[in-house]
Formats: sequence, C-alpha cells, structure tokens
Amino acid sequence: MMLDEQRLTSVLHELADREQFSPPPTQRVLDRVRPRATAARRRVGWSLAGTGVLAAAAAAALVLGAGTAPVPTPDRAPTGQEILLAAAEGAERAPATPKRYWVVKTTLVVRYLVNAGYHVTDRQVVQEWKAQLPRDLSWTGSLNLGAKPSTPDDEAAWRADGSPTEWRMGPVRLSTASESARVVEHPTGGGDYFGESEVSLAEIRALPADPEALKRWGERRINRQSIMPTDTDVHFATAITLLTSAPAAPAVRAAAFRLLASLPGVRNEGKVRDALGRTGTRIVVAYGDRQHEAIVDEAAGQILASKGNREPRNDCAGSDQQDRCDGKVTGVPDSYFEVEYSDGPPRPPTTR
Amino acid sequence: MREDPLVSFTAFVEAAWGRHVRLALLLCGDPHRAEDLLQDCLVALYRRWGRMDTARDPHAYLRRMLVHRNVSRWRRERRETLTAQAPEVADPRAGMVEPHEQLRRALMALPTRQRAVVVLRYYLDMSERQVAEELGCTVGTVKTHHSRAMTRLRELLPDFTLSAKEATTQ
Repeated sequence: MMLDEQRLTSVLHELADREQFSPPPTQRVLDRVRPRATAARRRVGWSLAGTGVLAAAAAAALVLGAGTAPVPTPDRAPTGQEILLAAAEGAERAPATPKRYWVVKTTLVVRYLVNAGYHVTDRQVVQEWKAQLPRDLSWTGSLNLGAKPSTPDDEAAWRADGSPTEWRMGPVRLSTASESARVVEHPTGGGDYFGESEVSLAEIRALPADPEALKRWGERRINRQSIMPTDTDVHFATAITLLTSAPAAPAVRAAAFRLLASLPGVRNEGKVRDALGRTGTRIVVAYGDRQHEAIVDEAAGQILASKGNREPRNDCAGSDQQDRCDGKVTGVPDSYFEVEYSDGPPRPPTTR
Repeated sequence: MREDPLVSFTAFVEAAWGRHVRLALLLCGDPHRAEDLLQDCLVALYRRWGRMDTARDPHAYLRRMLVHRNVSRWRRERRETLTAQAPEVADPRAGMVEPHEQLRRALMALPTRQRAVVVLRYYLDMSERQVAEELGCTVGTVKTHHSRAMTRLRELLPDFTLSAKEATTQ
C-alpha cells in the first residue's frame, strides 16, 4: 500500500484554505519593529534626515534643547576642543566594570509637519537592554508618550483643524494618546548598529583606544548613506554612536571624545539645560554646509543629547503629492541619552 | 534620496500575510500559533530589511524563516513541556473526523522537519532538490525525512492509502 499523493495534496489545500485568518496585523508588526527602526537611526539622524523636509524658517526655530536657559559662564569660556578633551578625561575616570546589561535609554523628540500645515511633536522613550553575556537575550522597552501640537500657534491651527487625535501618514501613525510602557525580548547579541551596519559586541570590545584608528575603522565599517556625504560625517557618527549607544570600554569612549575634538569647526555654545533637566555644554560641529550638535557633560564624560545635520529645504512646497508629504519629519529627532550598566532584570521604561 | 524602509516594509507585510499565513498553519498545525509565528518572523525580517539584497526575494526569505523558526521553536517548547501532556496529538483515527482534520492531526504527530518536508513537497509542490535548499540540508536527508514521514502518515491515515492496484493504475 502507498499513500495517495494527489489526495494528500488536495486535502492539504483544503486544510489550509478553510481556516479564516485575521487581516494583516500590520500595525502590531510596525509597533514591534518601530523601537528598533527608531533606535537604529536615532543617533545622528541618519536616514531620517535623508528624507527630512525642513523649511528654513523652521530650521531657525528648531534648536536643540529649545527653551533652555543659558547658565552664566566665567570670563574666558573654554573652547569646544577643551570641553571635549575634558570629557575624554571624564570618560576615562568612569567606572569600567560591566554588568549583565548595558542599558541605553533614549528619549526621542520628533517634529512632524501634518497635512493641515501645522507641526506636532511626538515623544517616545526607547530603552535597550543589551545583554553582555552570551547566555542572555537582549530586550527593548518602549514608551510612547503621544504627540501634541508643537507650539501655541500650532495648537491654534490644530483646533481650527477640528482637534484631531490621530494623524496617519503612510506607515507612521501618530496619536495624542500615550501608550502603556512595555519591554520585549530582542534576539540580538548585545552589539550595536552604526547606521545600518551591525557591529557585534566582540568587535566593539576590540575597538582601538585611538582617535585616528577609530576614524579609519568608521570609514571602513560604516555603510555610507546619503546622509553622510563626507568623511567628517562618518567620523562624527562613529564617535556619537560609541558614546551614546555602544558598550565600549572607558578608554575607547575617551578616544571617541578626542576624535570629536579633532573635527573641524568645533565650537562651545555655552551651558544649557536639556529636556530632561540636566545641565551640559552645547557643542556644535560645523563645516561646509553641515552642522551637528551635541550636549556634553564633560565631568561625567557623557553625551547627554545629540542632533544631526539639518537639510533646510521643503520638498513638499507646491508638490502635487501633498499626501506623501504628510508626516515628513521636519528635523532629525532630538535624542536625549541615559546610559549605564545594570544587572537587570529588564523593565518597561518610565519617564521617572 | 533614500526612501524610509518602513514604507516598503509596510507594503510587504500587507502582501506577505495572506500569502504565508496558510503555510504557517500547515507548518505548526494551529491557526493562533501560525499567526504568532508569522508575526514573529516579520518582526525578525525587518532587521534585515534595509540590507536585503534587492535580487533576493523577500517572500522566499520569509518562507525559510517560517520553516526554520517553527523547527527551533518546537524544539524549545518540547524541552519546556516534555513532562506535560502531549497536546493536540490525539489519535487521528479516533472517532468520525473529517479528512482535513485527520490530516491535521497526523501532521502534528510528525516531527517538525518531517512535517516541513511533507508541506513543502505537497503543498508548495517543491522538488526534493528545492526542499533540500529550503531546509539547508542534502537531498539524501530530504529523502530520509520524506520516506519516514510517508510511512508514519500511512499508518495514521488509512483512508488516504491506495491499494497496490490503484497505485499502479494511477
């Protein structure tokens, strides 16, 4: 006796076809990938800036840590290089004992231009628990705080628009509602993404504690995108990722600060208080038509916040594809970082 | 200018769901687990999305993920529930059951790789060589899985068997 293969085929199809399945759970899938998508891109804006649309007027208003009050400084302010070299020493002094997880908590603040012509600001917290032991899984936590009109003027325009509580723009759905925090398993090896190039924990641990060697490594290793047209962009991105995301050794972090100090057009823009209420020094790196910003806590040897290059243009103006412009990011996100080692266990993020 | 990968990924999720959820059902034998499995695979696929070779068919890639993740998940769950009851593997011959339900139960009684071979061969109509590529094993291994699976299915599905005469005339 043998099995009737034709019957097997037809009953297999019957078995498959009779079941009713739910429609594609697209939003649920996107919600699960969004922390990763955002995290991979948040550091210096990477491709967000590449697709970004930014009116020049908006660019002028959109300053990292907007609304912060300058703190008085002594007679001769230190130069940008001096701040960054002091931060290198701060990084060297930081405790070096790894724990079970390297925890990177990022508060992302992104402005969107919606169809009706006003801006809304979306706030999201992404917290990555990068496992430092091979037996552990990494975790990613997220907390969406919801979107709201960016300024009082935007709020008036929003009311005139009928006070919508949701904006849908292609894959991005913004809502005024906050969502409850959660934390999910993430099958990664505890390394990091530099742009879209995945770097293992082992490679991060083996990085050279030398600024020039780090530049060469970044040039070789980072998959260059349109957002990083020059070597200097790549160097900046390498250093910022090492300092705000990757579990690099103190000596390598110090070298990353020295790398930043060696970049052209480094300026000290004075003391500021960031969106999380922390005080730091605003550093601007400007060359050609490119500009990057970071807030540095030089005593602790940490980057508190970063913002990438801006592209002051508005592709949507006069466009016949206005709907495609809805939700374009009008600036790269302001990212506020908190990094530390922890023994866990991973928990959903809070706003503290 | 580079398009946001979320845009193309969203379109892919919409297209992939209907195309692969039935395969997932056959691979894991339960509609809810099938949806979970497919959703997990889509989330994992996003990791590769920005770096996928454009020449590579993402549907084929997703299909392989379904097969492999189902095998490894099954292993993990078996370890965890080894002492618990063996669920869903009721005797397919018991009671009056419709053919598709008989087949579902019989498939569930197969080891996951054998089940994958049957599903790929007879549902997706793949050749032994294609199945081997899909599973990342040799054609010989596929033959072994196939023959063991068919032996077991013949025991479990007497209604599906042909007599020697029917077989020769078919």
